[in-house]
Amino acid sequence: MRPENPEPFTAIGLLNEECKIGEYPKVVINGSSIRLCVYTANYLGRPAYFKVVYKLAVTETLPSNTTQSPEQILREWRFILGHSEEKVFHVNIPVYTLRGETRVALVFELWIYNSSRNMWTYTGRWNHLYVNITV
Amino acid sequence: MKIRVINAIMLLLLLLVVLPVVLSSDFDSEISILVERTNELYSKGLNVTIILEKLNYAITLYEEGSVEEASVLLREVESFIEDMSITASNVYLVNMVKKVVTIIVLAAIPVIVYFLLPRLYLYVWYKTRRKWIVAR
Repeated sequence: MRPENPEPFTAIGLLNEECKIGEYPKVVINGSSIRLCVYTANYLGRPAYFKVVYKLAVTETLPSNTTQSPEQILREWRFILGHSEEKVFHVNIPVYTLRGETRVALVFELWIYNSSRNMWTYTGRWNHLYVNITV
Repeated sequence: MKIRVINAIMLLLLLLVVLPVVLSSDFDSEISILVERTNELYSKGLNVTIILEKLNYAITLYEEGSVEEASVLLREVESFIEDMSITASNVYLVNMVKKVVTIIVLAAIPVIVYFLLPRLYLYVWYKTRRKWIVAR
């Protein structure tokens, strides 16, 4: 009964504290928390169960469109989105140096629950923001 | 004796770490099953917004630690989905009939115009010239 969706896709975006593009934090105090906004959208043609995963990474451990980052998961946010539904929500995330590196990437990966395999699957969509950490 | 106590404590600590992961996995699986059932209703043309809102609220409750409340809400959602499933077939049939009738009407318009428009034109033409007299 529903028209077929010829180009299904999902989207994730990173916004600043006011949920707008631009004016992202550049310098963060080691061990502090910062507040950002995450935008997600579902255009798969059906409702789906998603989660956004937050990790700290360096250049060598950034995710790709096929592979998630190998870094540790620090935060997760789970939600369900209907078709053509978008969600913007605030996140408070910890930021600290990673293995001595003072320039780290704040990585946000979008995952979807695969019901046929009964497990979370990385969608290949992610955002990252480089920040410098003052010790 | 001491070793047995230490082993018991280690086992308890391990369970405390593993159990939340297992519980979380069960919860995700349960949510996924309900989302799939919701998809079936959605594909039949039903409005599933309320179901998705309730499921999102259940997730929020679970993440805040209110596992029992989340479970109760999931049972409610399950019951709601079952109720909607009963009417889903009727809604699907009604929507299908509406679509078919719309298609037939739209397809018939050019055919009707092809046959009726010349007749209508001639009718109007003759009507306007009804009182004309042919002069020799």
